[in-house]
Amino acid sequence: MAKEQSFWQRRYPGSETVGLTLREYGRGLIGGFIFSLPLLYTMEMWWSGFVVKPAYLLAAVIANCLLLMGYNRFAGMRDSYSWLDIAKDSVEEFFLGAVTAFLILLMLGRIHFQMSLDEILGKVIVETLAVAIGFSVGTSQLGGEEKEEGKQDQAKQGEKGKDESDGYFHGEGGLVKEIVLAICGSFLFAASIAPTEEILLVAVSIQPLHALALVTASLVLSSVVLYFSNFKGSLEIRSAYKMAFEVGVNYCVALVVSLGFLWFFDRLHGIQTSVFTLVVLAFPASIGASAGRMLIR
Amino acid sequence: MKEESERKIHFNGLQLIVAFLGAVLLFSLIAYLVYQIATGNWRPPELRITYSHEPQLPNNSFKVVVENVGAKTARSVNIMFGYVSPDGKTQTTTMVIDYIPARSTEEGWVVFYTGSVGVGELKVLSANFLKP
Repeated sequence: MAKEQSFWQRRYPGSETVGLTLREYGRGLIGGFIFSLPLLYTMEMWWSGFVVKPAYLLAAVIANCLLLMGYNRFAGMRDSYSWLDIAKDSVEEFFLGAVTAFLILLMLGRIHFQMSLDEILGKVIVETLAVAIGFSVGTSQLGGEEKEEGKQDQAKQGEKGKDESDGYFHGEGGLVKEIVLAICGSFLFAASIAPTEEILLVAVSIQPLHALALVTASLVLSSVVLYFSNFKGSLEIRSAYKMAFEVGVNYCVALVVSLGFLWFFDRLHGIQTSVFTLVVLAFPASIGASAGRMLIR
Repeated sequence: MKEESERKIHFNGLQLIVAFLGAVLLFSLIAYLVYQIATGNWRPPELRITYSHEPQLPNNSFKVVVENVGAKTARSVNIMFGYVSPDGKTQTTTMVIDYIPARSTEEGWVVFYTGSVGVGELKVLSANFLKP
């Protein structure tokens, strides 16, 4: 018996059913919780909502949207093909992330309607940044058959368009894709640690030798994850130069993401403390950049 | 050309509604933040402290309302109160509040165990806070 189609599906044969979309949203919600629930329960995150300057919040919202678009371009919610589709996916995730963050903060009593609008918006915006990325990763990674079918379709499409899109920088497995995934992985790992006071506490108490050990451990662990762990999607050693380059890019991504977090949470004070704080946060961020990039592709 | 049309995604009604609401929310937030930056009021925190006696509570209890009417958050707020009881005894106490966001209000109570009958006089002796 033929399955009955909705008006929308008859009008646009390629479109999803509403039920399928709701299931996607459900997956996204669970993904959002998996990756961002600790942040919704972290008081430094609530505080940063009203401490952070509006210009920083604006920069964070724009950076978050760009990151969502980057992730959706390479591994996101649906196998989107045009930038307009990717933008639509991204604003959907941003909206659902914002609604989720708002409702959870409301249920936890962290926002109420006697608060000033600035405070409510600040708290919701800060939490949305992580929830929206978690939403996107969750929808993409927690899917079953539909996602696998989608990936196979995408692989076929990729074969067709190989001549125009493949390459060292932009193709499947290209540098741009790897950097975007590394940024997402790094963001998700570092986000739950960056707002805490402990980062600063560690940074002011360690010696240069500790910092050097952290940098070495970050590089070694990244190499292990990328080349020796047999993770899904781990890389083959082709040359020592290529390996050093990949690990170096990975660590640079972790440093840039960590620097962004420290700037946003106003944790950069004095050169030595800032460098140490950066190194301390870059350790989890580099693990996120390497492991995350394998797991969330 | 045919391949291009096959690759085009048709979003269903629910997806379009959510995407539309998302776009409205995103642009509204950006507009609000840009407005805040453009009309930036960089006045430092300014605390208004009011208090009232609470006769229904035991001892000498006072309800304290601290409002930050400035444009910036005040961190580690310390407010010192002095209380002079009807028999002339003096006591001091300090209220500590982690944060008072701009245009927000915090409420609390101070209680003095003087053992004397009647209500004395409460005064704010000092208030200090840090930049976040």
